[in-house]
Parts: sequence; C-alpha cells; structure tokens
Amino acid sequence: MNILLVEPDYYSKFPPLGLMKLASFHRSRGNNIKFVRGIDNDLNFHPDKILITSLFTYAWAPVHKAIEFYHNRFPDSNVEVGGIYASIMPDRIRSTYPYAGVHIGLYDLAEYYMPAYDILLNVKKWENWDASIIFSSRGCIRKCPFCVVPKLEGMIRPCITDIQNYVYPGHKRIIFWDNNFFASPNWKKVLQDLNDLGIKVDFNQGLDARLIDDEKARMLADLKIPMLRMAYDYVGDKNSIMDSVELLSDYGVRRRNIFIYTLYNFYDSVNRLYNDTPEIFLMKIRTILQLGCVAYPMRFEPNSSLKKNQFISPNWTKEQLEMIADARRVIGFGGAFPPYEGLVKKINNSMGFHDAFGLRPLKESAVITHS
Amino acid sequence: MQFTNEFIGSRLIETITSGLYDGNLNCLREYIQNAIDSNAENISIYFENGGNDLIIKDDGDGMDREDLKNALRIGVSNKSVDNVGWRGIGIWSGVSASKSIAIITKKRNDNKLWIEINNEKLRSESRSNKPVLSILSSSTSDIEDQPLGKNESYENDHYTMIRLESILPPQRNIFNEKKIIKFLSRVVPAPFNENRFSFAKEINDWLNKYKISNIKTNITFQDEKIYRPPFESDIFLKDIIKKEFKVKEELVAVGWALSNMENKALQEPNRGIYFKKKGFTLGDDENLVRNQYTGTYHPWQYGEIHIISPELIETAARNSLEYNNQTVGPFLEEISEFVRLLEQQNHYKSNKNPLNQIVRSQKYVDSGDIKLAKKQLTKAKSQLEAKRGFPTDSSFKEMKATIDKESERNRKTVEDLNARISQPNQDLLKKKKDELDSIINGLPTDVKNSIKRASSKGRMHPEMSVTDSIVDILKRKTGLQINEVRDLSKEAYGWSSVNPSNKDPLIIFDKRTDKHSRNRNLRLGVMIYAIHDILVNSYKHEKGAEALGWFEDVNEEEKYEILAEMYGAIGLIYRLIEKSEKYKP
Repeated sequence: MNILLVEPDYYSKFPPLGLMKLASFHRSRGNNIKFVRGIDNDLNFHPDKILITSLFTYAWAPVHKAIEFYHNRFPDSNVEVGGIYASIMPDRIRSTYPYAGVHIGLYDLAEYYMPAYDILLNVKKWENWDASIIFSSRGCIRKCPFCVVPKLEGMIRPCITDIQNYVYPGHKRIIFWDNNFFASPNWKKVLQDLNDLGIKVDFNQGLDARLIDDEKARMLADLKIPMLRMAYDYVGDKNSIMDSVELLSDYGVRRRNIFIYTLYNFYDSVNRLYNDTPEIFLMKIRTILQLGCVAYPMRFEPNSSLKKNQFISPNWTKEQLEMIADARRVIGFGGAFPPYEGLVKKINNSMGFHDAFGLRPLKESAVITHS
Repeated sequence: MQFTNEFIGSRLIETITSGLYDGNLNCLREYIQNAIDSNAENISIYFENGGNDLIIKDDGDGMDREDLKNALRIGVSNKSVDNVGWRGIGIWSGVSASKSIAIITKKRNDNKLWIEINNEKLRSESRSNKPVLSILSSSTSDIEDQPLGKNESYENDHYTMIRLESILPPQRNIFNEKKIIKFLSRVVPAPFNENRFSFAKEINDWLNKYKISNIKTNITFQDEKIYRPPFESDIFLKDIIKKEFKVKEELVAVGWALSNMENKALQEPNRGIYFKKKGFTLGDDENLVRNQYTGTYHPWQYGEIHIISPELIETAARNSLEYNNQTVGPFLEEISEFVRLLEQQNHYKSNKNPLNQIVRSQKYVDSGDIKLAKKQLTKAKSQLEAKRGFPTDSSFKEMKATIDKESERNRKTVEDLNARISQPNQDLLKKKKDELDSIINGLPTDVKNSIKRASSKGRMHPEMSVTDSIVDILKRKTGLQINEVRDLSKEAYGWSSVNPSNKDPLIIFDKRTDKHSRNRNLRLGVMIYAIHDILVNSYKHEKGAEALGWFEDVNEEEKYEILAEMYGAIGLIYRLIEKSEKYKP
C-alpha cells in the first residue's frame, strides 16, 4: 500500500512526531510511505491512503486546505485526519468533510516505533533537524483546567524507558515531550540512561517544580541541559518554584538557564479557583526575576479556540494584554523576561502592573516602521 | 519418559539466538539462505531510516499462513539437506541485533501477511524462568492479513521482507555499510565481477562442469550489486590450479587456486582459500584452511574449495565441518596435502623468481649504486640456478610451466641489468666524483675536517657534515653562543617573519614600496637563512633533512654536481665569515 503523510503548512517549531511514527509503523507493515509538508503540486506518488496531521485548534485553516487539496487530487484515496485539532474537534472536520475519517487521540500501535526521521530530509523546513523527540511517559497526574493533556491522554503511564534505543543515529540531542516527566515512575532510570548517554537534553514541556526534590535536582544538574524549563501557573506554586530553584542552584545549575513558563489571562469559569489577574502576573514575574531565572509569559488560549489571541479573561483588559505583548517585544528578549539588571530593577521598583509593563511612548524619530 | 513444557527452560531461546549469532552478521546469511531456498531471483538488502532498520527483501515464492508458522518453528525444518538452510532457526537469527523483527510475506494468490517478533521482550523474558512456549507466544504478534494497495496484485505478487527494526545501538558498529559489504562479498553466493576479475569465465566454466556455482540470484546491498572476491586479476600468475578432491575414489569437493605474482602474502580481500558449500562460505570471514587445518600456510594464494559431497556437513554455526562420518577425516587430509603442495609451489616460485632482488638491483642501477646492484644481482642469479622441487601432482603441471616462463623472463631481466652495469658511462660519474673531491680539497681546513669527521658517508650529506665548522667559526669570530648569533642575524635580516614551519613562501619578491618595503629586504636574508637553516641547522637536523628531501631523488651524477656547488658555497660562507671584521660604527 502507498501511504501519503501530510503535515499541513502551519507554523511549528517541531517536526511532526506522530507522522514519523506512523511512517515507521506503515513501513513495518511493508507499505510505501511519502511525506509532504503543505500542498505539493508535483507529487509523483499515488496513495491508497492519505494521513493528515493537525496541531493547535487555531491552526485549523492549513489542515482544511490540505484535506481539500489532497482529496481533490486523489479522489479515490481514503483521507484520515489525526492530531490535536482533529482529536479536540472531530465533528468540525466530519461535518465539513464527510469523506474524511478522523482519528482521535493516540495511535497506540505506532507508539513504540523509532520515528522515521529520514522522511524529514525530503522537506526543506526539516532537512537539518538533529534532535530525537521522545515521550518517556504519556498523560499527567494533574488535571489543570487550562490544559488539554488530561482530556487527550488521561492519566500518567510510562512508555519508552530504554532511551538509548530511541536516539536516532547521528542525533546530538534529545527533546522530551513528557507532560510531567517526574510524575512517571520511570524517571530515575531515564535520568540514569541520559547520564550514561552524555547527550544534550531538553525537557521541552517543562518540569513540575512541585515534584523536584534533592535527588532529582542532583541528577538533573549532572545532565547536559542547556535550558531547564518549569512552569509557574498557580499562585500557590510560589514556594515550590523557589525551593526547586534553590535546590537546582545548589547543585550547580545556573539560574539564568532556568526558564519558567508563566501563565496569564486564564479564567476558569467552572470552579473559579485559579483565575489570575494582572497584579498576580506581576507578582509571579517579580518572583522569577528575583530568583535570577528567566520568565516566559504564556498567554492562556482555550483548548478549542479557532483564532489565536482572541480570548480575554474577565480579569484582564485587551490593553493590558497588549502591554505584555509589547513589553515582551521591547524590554524582553526572545519573548522572555531574562533577569537583566535593568529589567529586574524596573519590575522590582514598579508600583503596579502598569508601572511594570508600561513603556514610555517612543520618540517620533525612534519609531521604526516595518514594511 | 514423557517431556512436558516445563522441561525446556527459557535459556534455550537465548542459546539459540544469542549463542549462535550474537554480535555478528550471520543472521544476514540465514535470511539470504531462506530467500535462495524460496527460489528468489533478486535479494535486496538495504537500510531504512538512517541505518536504524535493515531490510532483506526477496522476490521468492513467499509464504502463506501455514508456511509462515512453519518458518517460525525452532529446530524443525521442512527443508531437505539439499537446500542451503535446513536447521530451522533462520528467522530467529536476527533477535540479538534489533528491537524487533517484522516479517511481511506474500504468496501468489494469497494474502499479504505480517508478523512481528518483539526481541526486547524475548530477550528479557529468556532470562526469566518462564516456560519457553509462553515466552514465545507473548513475544510474537498474531499473524495479520495486510490490505493490498491499488498497485499490488493478489494473483501475481510474491515476496518476503524481513525487517530488522531499530538495530540496537551496541550493534550499530557491526551493522554498518562497510562491514556488511565485506561480509556479503565474502559469505554469500555472489558471482565474480567479470570486469575486474579476468579469470571469472574460466573458473565458472570449470565449476559448472560439476554443477557448482550456478549463481542466478542477484544480491544487492544499498542498490549495489554484491560480487565475490578476488577483485583484481593482474596480481596473479596467469594460471589456475584446478583440483579434484576424492575420498575412496569418490569426488567430494572441487577446488581452484590462483597464485600471487609477487613473492609475498596477498592483501585482503584477495587472499585466502575458502570452503564453499552451495555457494556459501563456511566459517564466514574466517579462512578455514589457514586457521583450522594447517598452521603454517602462507596466504600467497586465493582459492575456493567447493564441497560437493552431502557427507560433508557444516556445523550449525558454519565455522567447521562436523566430524560425524568416514568422509570428513580423509577429506581434511586431502586438504592438508593440497596446502602442502601449495607451500612447495611457493618455495619453488620464490626461488625461480627472485623478484625482490631484481626490484632492488634495478633501483640501485638507476641510482648509480653499482656495488649494491651487483650484490643483489649475484644473489638473484644464484637463486635462479639453484635446484628446487616442485609438486608432482598433475593439477600443478601447468603452473610449473607458467612459473618457469616467468622465471625465464626474470633471468633475462637479470642479464639486462648486468649488461647495463658494465656500460662505460661510469666514466662520467667518475669525472663528477673527482670534481667534487677537488672542490672539497680546496676548502678551508676546518670545513674539510668537519666533512671528514662525519663518517665516510659524510660528504654525501652536507646537512650532517659541515654544521660544526660553520658553527665553530661563528662562535669564534663573534665570541657569542650560536643562539645569540641566530637572534642577531634574525633581527638584521628579518627572519622572524620567515618561519620555516609556516606555509608562506620561503622567498618573497614584493614590488610594493613604502609600507611593505621591508619584505624586499628579506630577499638576501632569507637566502642566507635558508643556507643557515640547512647547514647550521638551528632548527635541528630533521629540518635540514626535510629541506634536502628533493636531493635524494636526483640521479647520481647530478648529486655530485650539486654537492660540488654546495660545498663551494659553504667554503665561500666560511671564508666570508673568517675574513669579516668587527663592525665599527
């Protein structure tokens, strides 16, 4: 059978792991596969099956475009759509494209295959990709109301434990996509294996500060982790954040290399427990910068939003949200707030949210217009 | 006694899969055997996913559900001894190499089937004490029907694809391209590359007479066709030894051998004598003849011994023959005798073809070292004339003629060289030598003495012989240490920017004035520097030798000429220094 794997042309920092695993799965059944990104007009491949992935719900448009294009191009081939958007809003796809099948959630049979990283070589955007992406566990022990993981993956369960078997020949670093790495019972074996491998590691989804203890901090500090990520979501996490940063710092992790995702603009209409305000946000940023770490603001996006940056929490105003966006651009670096002296001072000495994130109006001559 | 499941321990699996095949490429041979036994015409072996998966695909008959089940039986095989593989462990042989093995197969007019062996599970459970059957059941998937695509044909398609998926990291340096190519060309029934091996046709014709070497299967690795060695022809004498091996008047094997043109061991992969059975090599890369049956054989030959007799059975690991019948012993004696004859032939050849001496004397004649050349030629002559035994075995008959013919040619070369030595152009050389001697005679006594001091060969090595006299006079005249002299002249001529070890040209001609004008001043400086460096050798002797490397390559007459000029220059430098006076500003 010929299987066409399609990654729609949306923005993404990471190649489509699911499609790579499906590629290996189908090869393992003796099928031929072909991988394309976006619309490929010169495709010299007649598929029996077309598998299209998807990402965030607000990136639905390129997915629909791909479904239409490949269905029209190969009307007698089956189309199946999977991925996050398809799993969250299957009916939106079904009702628009009755001919398309929708796969919801994970495709368990493909989970344990080495992703076919070689297919990336045919796509310009990914041809230089050099990292192995691994889920050492799926799911999460927590049920945070702002997170889609409990709905998509459910409770925590370990999957890949023999990390070395999943490092692609020639790859120089590993990216973990575990939702909550330390919640998995296998964390210790994985860290030991990583230490043996001596390879660069990125726990991309952030580590749970509430689970970091002395042993974990020590083991983390022994690894090659250029950027250690955590998240400061709930106000009540303050002590966990502070304790874990101190622990990590004691074991030799540079505070500057600790990167803390900071949730804002979240509103939980159901139990109203965790709703943040601009002042809470300022407090969180202040804590992070005082610790000497990097704060990375994360604007809440509802799980099924179809357009990015539309949602405004009742506790926030559009202007306040724009202030943060501007501040990240102007006084931040790469969208983050690093503990630069001036920045720490400005945030520390500020009287409140407006004072902290407000920018002086630009002088006429200093305005740079982008065309 | 009644055996039950519990009587067979899980370790048995480990013994079969790891014990036999661990850490090598033998599983490839197993899969190729299976493919050949299923009448495959093409076998392609290739990596997928950056070397992560290794695939062996053949266009043989393929398997239906029943065949596939049978193929997975352990130690039971439907194959007859006539087939290549028959011990019934083939499919499991890749267990130790990879994370899993997937088998996809299809017979004509049958479904496409798939099954997977989970090697990880098999390995980990084989260390437990669970019953074998339950381990096997839990580490294999069910046989699944796979849907056919639009371009696949239920009626016509037939194939088997073995996929070793996720080669384990410790195995990756064994399962690499180079090693696989080497293994395949050495082990599997591949044809000769007729473009590179001109004896191919004659050998094939001869083997075909005995219905051996009927290689029809086309084996490729990464799209490159696999051939078997040798990969060269010119290195061998132009005659093939062909030998029938008989035990009790019955033909049990057929062999052939080529001999090195030169008197030395051949290089891999063109050396060794290999046992072959049904095209496959016994003992894989191992040269059984050398390693197991004779300790002394010098690999001056490339050859094959094709086993015909069904009595001669290889061990399961294919690294030896089983000693379980009356044929094996006498056969191996035959082999030893054959090897003894080859050795005798080698001795004869090295005597009758004193190639090393000829090559050396040729070199000496060319370089003018007549004395040394004569010595080598005398040696060669005495060898050519010595009496030596040659195998009387009929299969060596023609080889003797070939060697004797070569020998005749060599005898002629020796005569030619002798003639060249006695040519009268010795006069010219003598004249040049006398010129050099007279130049040396005219040199200041100190220089002469230092040349003499540096042994009898001294004058041929200016970098060794005159160092001391120049150093001495520099020290005497200036009252300084030699490194102080060096530093002073360095400053005077700007040598600091002419480092001998960097890649800049030694002498720079620069037309630019003003800013860069100092480069012009270096011209004289660097010339003196070059002489200084060669002769005074402040940068150690190696540097001097390196600088004079070209000198070794010129011919004898020219050498004397250059030496005369050099010593002239040295004498001049010595005198310049000697006559110099202290600078008075």
